[in-house]
Amino acid sequence: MTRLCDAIARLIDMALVFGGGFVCLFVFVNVLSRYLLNADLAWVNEVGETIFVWLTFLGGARALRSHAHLAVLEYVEKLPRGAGAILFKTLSAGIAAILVLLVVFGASVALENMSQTMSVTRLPVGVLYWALPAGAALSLVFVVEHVLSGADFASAAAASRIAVDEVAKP
Amino acid sequence: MTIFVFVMAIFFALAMIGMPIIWAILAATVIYMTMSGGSYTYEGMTLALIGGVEPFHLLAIPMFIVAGELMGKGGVSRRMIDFTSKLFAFLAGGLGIVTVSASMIFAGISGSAVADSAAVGSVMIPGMKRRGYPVAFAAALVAVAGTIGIIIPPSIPMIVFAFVANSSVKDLFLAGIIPGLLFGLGLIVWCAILGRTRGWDPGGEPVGLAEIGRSFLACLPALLMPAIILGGIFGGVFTPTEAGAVAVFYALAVGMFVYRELSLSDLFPILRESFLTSATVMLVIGATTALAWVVTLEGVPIALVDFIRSVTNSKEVFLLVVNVALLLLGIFLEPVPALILTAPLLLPVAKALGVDAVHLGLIMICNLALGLFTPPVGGTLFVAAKMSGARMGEITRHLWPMFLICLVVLLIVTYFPAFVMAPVQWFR
Repeated sequence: MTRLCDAIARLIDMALVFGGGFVCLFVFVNVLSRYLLNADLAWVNEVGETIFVWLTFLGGARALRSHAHLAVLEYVEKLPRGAGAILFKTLSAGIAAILVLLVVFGASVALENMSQTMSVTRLPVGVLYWALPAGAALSLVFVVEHVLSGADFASAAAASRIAVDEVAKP
Repeated sequence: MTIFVFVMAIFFALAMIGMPIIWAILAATVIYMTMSGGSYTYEGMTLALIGGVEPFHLLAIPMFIVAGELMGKGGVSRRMIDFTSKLFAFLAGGLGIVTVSASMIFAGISGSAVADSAAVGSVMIPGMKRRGYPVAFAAALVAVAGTIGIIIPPSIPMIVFAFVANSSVKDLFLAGIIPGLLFGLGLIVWCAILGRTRGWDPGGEPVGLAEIGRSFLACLPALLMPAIILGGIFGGVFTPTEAGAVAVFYALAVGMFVYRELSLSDLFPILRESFLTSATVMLVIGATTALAWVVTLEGVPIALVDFIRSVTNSKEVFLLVVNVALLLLGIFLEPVPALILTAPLLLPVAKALGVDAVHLGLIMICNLALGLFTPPVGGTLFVAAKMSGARMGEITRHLWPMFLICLVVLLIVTYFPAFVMAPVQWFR
């Protein structure tokens, strides 16, 4: 399970780096093109939006794995181990239930929009909407990994402290 | 309205017992949909969620994060601090003044308070400690001064508020300039007073003009960045999103070719971390858009307008209530989720009482900036505490006077709208 999740996380990391870099590049190129070539690249908004939405939902799944979502852990991280573990698993079950809703109904919305096309690129609008069920499905995998690996609030808080350490590195 | 209050209580309870904010908001949305008995569909909820993260102009958020990171890692913060040190370090309380002024300049590059605190604090906390400041004071000052990062443009919460309020990013950026300068000025005066009265930092030898000039030239590429970003936006040369992309490539060029402290390999972790951070912010925006969808269809904003108008018709009293509520909320929540949870509710009331949306946005952002350094939950406070190694209790003792200074500035921003709106009027 961990190896599978590591592989998924690496793929998402690559998507964030290359997708993010690509979006920055073509928005910048559009500015240059408008002033130097007097040509506005009309596809930039549609492609930019689509990639951005995919990066958001994939990044959201990656953030779930590394406990990077905004959370208030100060009040629960010092709970006794048993109580903390029960609460963590209960919340994980709630998160999983929401994710199942997002996978099912997100896929339904995406399928319904596959016949509609965007105005410039003529890409199906559903391509953008598939980002939600895909991100939610990957998030679900990571929630299961957390529960199976015995993650708890202490490990979540420790992970967020590592993030603060990275920022605070002199 | 009763269901709304109940659902918000559930949201807070879930958030306080450790459920990440995004899932707490979505859980509240699902519960609201179920309890209200309306004919809401989960397809509608997913469409609202995607609609919240879709707008192209929100792409400015990760781009400004990337640009700030590139500038920070590319040697800009060190040169900015060197330049401000040459200018101010000879004064009593000089290093405190350098910390605040460097934070203000970095605020013009980065849209994030945490990035601002990290960039300035990593150099200034050890420097202030060596000069004789208590390390807890240095940490407190870095935590407070860093919050100017979201008040002086560019600012990520301003981009978010513009989206929620359907306002102009340009207007919000303009409106942030004077409040940001006022916050900085208040802290500078406090540092100067402490420098004289406590004897922590008697000041050093003044530096010659030639040396200041050399330091200025070294810092010039960094100082040009806010001019290019803001000048480009205010002059209509490019949109705020495009300004983000221009800032990324400018920062990259400065870091790689001028300062030669960045390589392409540095770019990968920066892009990864920045788009990861952006995803966490964007998903909270999306989740809140889904909640706002139900809240709006249930007529809560209109009910809230009626309720507040039945209690008071005074704009001043309303703004006082907003300030108190947001200061309390800011203690527990980070600015972006707090902003997108409350803005859709406050905007109709503000409009009904004649408060400009841009003015309200600035009041909200300044309030939530204070929340960034108030314990127990505060982004800049965490980073400054970590960098200094000081105890939270000691830092808090030094925070209180600065909190009061910020409170005075907040009241000026709230009750003297000209300080906020004047630059907006000039450009309108």
